[in-house]
Amino acid sequence: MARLPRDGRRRRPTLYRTVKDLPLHDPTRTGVLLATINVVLYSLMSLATWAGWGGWYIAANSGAGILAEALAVTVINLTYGLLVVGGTFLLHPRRWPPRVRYVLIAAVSLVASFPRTLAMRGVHSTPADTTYMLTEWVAGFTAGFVAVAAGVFTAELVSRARAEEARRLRAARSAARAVAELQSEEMRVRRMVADRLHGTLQYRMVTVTAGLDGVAARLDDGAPAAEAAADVRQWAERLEEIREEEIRSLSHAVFPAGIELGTVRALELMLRRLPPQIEAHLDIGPALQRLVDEVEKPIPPAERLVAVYAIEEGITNALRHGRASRIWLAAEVVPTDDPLAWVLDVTVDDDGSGLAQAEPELSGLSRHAERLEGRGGYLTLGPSPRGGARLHFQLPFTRTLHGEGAAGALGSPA
Amino acid sequence: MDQEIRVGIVEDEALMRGMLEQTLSAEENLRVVHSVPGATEARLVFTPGSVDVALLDVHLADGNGVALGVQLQRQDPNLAVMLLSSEDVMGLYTSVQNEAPKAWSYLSKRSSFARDVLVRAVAATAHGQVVLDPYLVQRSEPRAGSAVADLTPAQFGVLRLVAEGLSNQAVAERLGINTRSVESHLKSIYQRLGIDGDGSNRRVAAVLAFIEQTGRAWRT
Repeated sequence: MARLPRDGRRRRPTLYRTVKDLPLHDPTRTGVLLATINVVLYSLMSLATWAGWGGWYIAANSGAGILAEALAVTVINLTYGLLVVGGTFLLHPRRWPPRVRYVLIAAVSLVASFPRTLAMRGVHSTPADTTYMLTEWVAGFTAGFVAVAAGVFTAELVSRARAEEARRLRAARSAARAVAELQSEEMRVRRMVADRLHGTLQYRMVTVTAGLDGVAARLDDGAPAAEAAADVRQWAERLEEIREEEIRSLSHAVFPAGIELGTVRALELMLRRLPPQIEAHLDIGPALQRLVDEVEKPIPPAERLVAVYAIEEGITNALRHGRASRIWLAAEVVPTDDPLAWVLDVTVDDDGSGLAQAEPELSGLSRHAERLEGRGGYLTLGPSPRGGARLHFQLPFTRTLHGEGAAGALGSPA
Repeated sequence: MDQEIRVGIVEDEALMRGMLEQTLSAEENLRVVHSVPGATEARLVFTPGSVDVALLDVHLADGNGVALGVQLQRQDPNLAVMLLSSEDVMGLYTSVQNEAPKAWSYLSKRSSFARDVLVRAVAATAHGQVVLDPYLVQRSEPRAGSAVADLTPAQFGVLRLVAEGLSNQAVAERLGINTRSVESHLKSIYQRLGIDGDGSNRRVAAVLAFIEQTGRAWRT
C-alpha cells in the first residue's frame, strides 16, 4: 500500500518505473561471456590448425619441443582474444550507437592483431615470411572481430527479447491493477451510497415527516394558520437543505456534476461551489488551454474522474483540517516523447495550518495516491509557499484526438 | 409584451414537462411550440426561427442541456436559452458563455413550480435579459477576495435584484428607492467591477460577474 511521507518530504516520482521483481537483463555480462567462449574456441581451433599444417612435425624435429610450441600458440591466441574482449568492453560498446559499435570492435581487433602476429612469428615452428605474417594478421583480425561482434550481437538480441517480455508483463500487470482498482472503487462508492441512503438520509427524511405531522396535528387542534404556514416553510427549507447536502453529494460521489463537459469546466464548477468565505483561484496552464482549444475534452473520462476526485479530496482536506481560507488550484499538461501521451500536472496550494494537522487526512489521500500510482502517476503532499499545504500530483493520459466541434462533443452523453 | 413568445421545452421527466407546458400555455402571450423529452428530438424540431425561448433541463437522459443550448443557439443566434436544474449548477454554464452567442438565464426546478416566477423569467429572457434563480440569488454571498466583495451592501443589494432579471424600475420599487438611485448604484457597480460597454451588455456582464464571484452558503 502506498504511504504518503509523514514529514512532508517529497516522495521520489514513480512515473515510468520498472517492475522491480523482474531482474533486468545485463547485456554486457552476456556479451563478455559469449565473446570469451568464442575466443577460447577460436584458440583451440588455431591449435588444431597449427598441428594439422605441419607445426607439430617441425616442432618434433627441432629442439623446441612440441608441448612448449603448442602451449605458446594457444596462449598467444587466447591472450589476443581476451585482449579484444577486454579492450572492447572497457570502451563500453553499449554506449555507442550500433553503427559505431561494430567499427569499434573491428578497430580493437585490428590493433590487437598486430602484437599477435609478431608473437606468432616468434614461435619457432611457424614460417617467418611476409606472406605468412600478412595472412596471420588478417586471419587474426577477422577471427577476433567475428568472435566478439557475435557475442555483442547475441547479447543485444537476448536483451531486446527480455525487455519486450518485461514490457508485456508490465502492461499486463498494470491492466490487472487498473481493473482491480476500478472494482474496489466501485465497491467503495456503492457501500458509501448505500450507507448514506440507509443512514443519514432516511433519518433526516423521517424527521421532516414527523415535523410535518406535528404541524398538521397542531392545525387540527386549532392553531392559527399563519403560524403553521411559517412552520411549513421551515420544513420546506429543511427539505431543500437535505436535497442540497445529502442527495446532491450522493449523486456527486457517483458522478460529479459537470464532469461530462470536460476537466476544466468540472474544476471551475468545483471552485464556484465552495462556500463564499473561501477565496479560490484557478490557473489553467497554457499547454492545457491549447489542448482544450484544439479538442473539447482532451483528457479521457477515466483520468478526468481520478483527477477531479483527487483535487476535491485535497481541497476538502485544506478546508476541513487545514482551516484554509484561500485555495490556489493550478492545472497544466506536460508533453512526453510520444505526441499522444501527456501527463496532467496539478498543484493545490492553501493558506491553512499546513501539514502539522495533516494526520487525519492521510487515509483519504493515500487512497487517491494509490489510484494515481496504479495509473503510472504519483501524489505528494508537502509544505506550500502560500503558507499551508501543497498537494501535487501527476497523472499520465492518452489525449483524445477526435473533437466533434465544441457543441457536438458536448452533446454526446459520454 | 404585445408580441407572442414562442417557447420550446426540453425536459426528460414527464411530470415536470407537463407542468411547464401547462403553466406556460395558460399565459396569454406565451405559446409552447415544442415540448420534447431529449436532446436528440430537440435537435430535430428546434429549427432556426421557430422558437424564441428554449427551456432546457441540464440533465437529459441522452445528453447535457448545456451542450444542447450551445448547439441550438449557434444554429439560431436569436434563440434565448433558459436552463433548468434541480441542483445548483449555476456556476456551470458561465464558462460556456464564451462559446454561446448570448447569455443564458437559469432557474432551479424548485422556483419553476412558482407560476409567477416562471412566467416572469421566461418573458424577461425572451426580451434579452439574463434571469438567475431568485432563491439561489438570495442565498448568494460575495466570494472572499473578489471584486464583488468590495461592493457596499447597498450596491450588492441592487446587483442581486439585477441578477434576478429585474428592470431598474422594478429594482427601485422592490427597494423602495427611486430609479435614479438605482442608476447611480449601477454606475458605481460597473466601475468597481471594471465593466465597460453599452447598456444591456454591461448588465449581462454584471450578472456574469455575480455568478462568478459569489457562493451559496447552505449551512446557516
